[in-house]
Amino acid sequence: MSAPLLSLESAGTVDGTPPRPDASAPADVGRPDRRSWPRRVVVAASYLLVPLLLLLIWDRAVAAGWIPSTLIASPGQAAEQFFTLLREGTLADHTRISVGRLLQGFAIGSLLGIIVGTAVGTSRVAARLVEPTVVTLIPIPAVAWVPLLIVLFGIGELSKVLVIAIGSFCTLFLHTSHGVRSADRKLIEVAAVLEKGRFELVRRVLLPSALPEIFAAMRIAMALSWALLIVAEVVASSSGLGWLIWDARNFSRPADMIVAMAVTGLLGKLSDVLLGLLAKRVLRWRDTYGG
Amino acid sequence: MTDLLEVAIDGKSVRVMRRSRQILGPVRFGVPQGEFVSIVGPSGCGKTTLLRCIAGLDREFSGRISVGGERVRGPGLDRGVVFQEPRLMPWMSVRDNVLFAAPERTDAARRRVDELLALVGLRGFEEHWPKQLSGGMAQRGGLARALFNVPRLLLLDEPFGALDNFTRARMQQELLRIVASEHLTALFVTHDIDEAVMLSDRVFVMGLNPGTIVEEVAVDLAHPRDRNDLAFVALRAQVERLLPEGQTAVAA
Repeated sequence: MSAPLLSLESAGTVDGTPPRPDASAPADVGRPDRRSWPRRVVVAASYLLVPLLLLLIWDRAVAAGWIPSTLIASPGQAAEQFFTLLREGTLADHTRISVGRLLQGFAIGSLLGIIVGTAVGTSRVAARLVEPTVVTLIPIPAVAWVPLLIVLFGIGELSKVLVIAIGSFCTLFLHTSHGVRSADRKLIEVAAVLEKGRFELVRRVLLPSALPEIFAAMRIAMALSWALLIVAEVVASSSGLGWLIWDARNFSRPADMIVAMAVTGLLGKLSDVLLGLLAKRVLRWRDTYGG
Repeated sequence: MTDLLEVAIDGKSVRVMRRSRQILGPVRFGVPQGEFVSIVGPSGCGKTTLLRCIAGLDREFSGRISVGGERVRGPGLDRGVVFQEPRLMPWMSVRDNVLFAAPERTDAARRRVDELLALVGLRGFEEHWPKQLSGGMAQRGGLARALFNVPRLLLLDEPFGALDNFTRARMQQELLRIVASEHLTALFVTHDIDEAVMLSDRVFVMGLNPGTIVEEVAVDLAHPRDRNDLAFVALRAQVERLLPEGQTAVAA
């Protein structure tokens, strides 16, 4: 019997290699060449235009005395102070303390939120037991817990970590339970036909299905955690970036304030970027518009 | 000797917007072990619903379905299902998707997965994500998964609809070969009459409103079958005459 004209193995492409997206074709044919130097300069300039303008206005405002120099520092002064604090080690200390609190609270809150959210989303019994309580407490903004936590746990590390944990928990709980409940019924039927038990269904179908939403929730929770961190440190702390911002205000060290704000913002952005990269790796199987 | 599959449905109705619609009327038939039965019918006649009832995915009907003498109460490994859509888990590679069918992920299981993937023509694509496959390729992955546990009864819902003619013809022959060598019983839903006559020992023609088996056509031809053979053509015409006009698929 002669070889078949077209074998099943090569049904993917003409020559039998697996399909790959064509990397050689430029994404936007017809537009002016993105890669030319003049074009690149223009693009870079357009990104920097507004920030530079704002910096200029800020600098001029302080120099002209529109705002008293006891209250606010110029960009130049802030930059100088940044290096001073860095050299002194104060910046590193406060940063370390703040980041430590943040990561602990975020990790604990997120993990619990995912666990409880999964339980509630997959078990009607768990939902009946847990959901009424959680759903009642979630609307209380995490910040509102600060006074109570201080009363209960004083102004030590625990109260700050707990505030952040509460914020992360609420976010992850809501999104995880929703994500799990939104799993595609068609895939659940496949698991049913293959007689998969409840545990395997959750582990290999429902949770992976909810992962995109869980990662989105983590980024939201991270941003919230930074906000809660600063608030908690302002209200009940003697260390950390939030404390530094507030202490700088109280003792007229405007440069310190700006440095602490900037560092907080940068770290916040960095944490978000890292989460984004992690999400991209873990979710690389997704077939969506966003990639 | 009793049939492997015994279907005795009295009916199935659903309520849509305050009106009750009868999806299935009385459906009664038996399929002995080793037989290949196709169900053809126009779109909407309830053939997928019927298949789902047999698979145990739909329990809202009055009547009784038994497999191997035991009443069907829910889905099970004894009834493998190939759905209309591939239904691969997007977060698993092709290999992991087929391996998902294994009760335990042993080395033997992995070897079987590779065999099955080679069988359906997906060798070389084992590590791909489902999103990287064409519809036809994904469907073949679903077929490999359904075959893993060698189910007594294989239920297929238009599994080759998304494939091109060459691939479809090849897959039809592969399916026949697998069914024969593993002594499977198959229930195959399709709207393609050619496909039904090519594959089956019997063809059930289903009508709509409500869905019932209108007629049964026995296909006594020896394999391999030639669709240009006079007997084939005659049987095809016979089936076609039984279907409502304008609702038949174009000959593949």
